[in-house]
Amino acid sequence: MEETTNESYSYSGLDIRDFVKVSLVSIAKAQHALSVEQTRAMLETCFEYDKTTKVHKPIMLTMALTRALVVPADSPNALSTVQHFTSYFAIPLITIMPFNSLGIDVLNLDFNMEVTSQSTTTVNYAHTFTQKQETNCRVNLFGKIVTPPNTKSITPNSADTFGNSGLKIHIEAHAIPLTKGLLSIIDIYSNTLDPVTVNTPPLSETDTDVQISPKTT
Amino acid sequence: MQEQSIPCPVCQTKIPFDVHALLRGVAFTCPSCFASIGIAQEALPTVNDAMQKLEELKKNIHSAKKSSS
Ligand SMILES: [Zn+2]
Repeated sequence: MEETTNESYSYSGLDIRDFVKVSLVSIAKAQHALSVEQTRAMLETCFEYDKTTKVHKPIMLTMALTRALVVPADSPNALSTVQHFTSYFAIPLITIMPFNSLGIDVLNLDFNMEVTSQSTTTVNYAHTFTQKQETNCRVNLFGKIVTPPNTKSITPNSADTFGNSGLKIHIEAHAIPLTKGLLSIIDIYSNTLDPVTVNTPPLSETDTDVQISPKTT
Repeated sequence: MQEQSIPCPVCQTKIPFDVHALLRGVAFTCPSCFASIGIAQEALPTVNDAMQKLEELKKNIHSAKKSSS
């Protein structure tokens, strides 16, 4: 689509649309930089890199599961006892590390602008395939950043306090979730891990060894 | 913030937990069957090492942010 513009205005103030755009781009750039660091941190902290095979091997973490079991009495006169049994299983360290804390948690950006001038732009579109010409009219707002009168801090209702030419701009950003790929890996791990007892010790032993192996189903 | 929970490996009841406390070595108990789950003592140095690396990285990011602003 080709675009030709036909503008007629005298410049006065910042293009408000560009100003908002710049803020959003800055946030996106910061998120991107943090995502890169997050990925690097995942590789450095949760994997061991084997230089010869060039493979990142996941660091496994041993978890302990302790539960109480009633052990029946071995003679008619004895009492049943409660014993604690601990099972051990391993999970990848990556599934438990709080990597989201590296991203932007919450970001609020508020500023007020006063519209100082406005203009209209006639945009002529020439569709590449149909060669049809279309004309659109776009309104451009120009302004300057202002402190709203009588308000030192910006509150959600402060835009009301400074007239019709005032614009209150509120930009909110939140933490980006872990990437879909990583979440899928974590899901696969958690759905396929199933504790399997490799050796059943006599009940007098308090520790049992449990190995995690993928489900066959 | 969304509350985190894991299904109890014994009875499947949801065990609410705080990941930071878990990483510090706190064990969480199932409200239904009282099974407790936590990081094994011998694995705590691995976690501490990883957490230290993460904290260092956060500090680096923080100082990079300060110097750029
Ligand atoms: Zn339980």
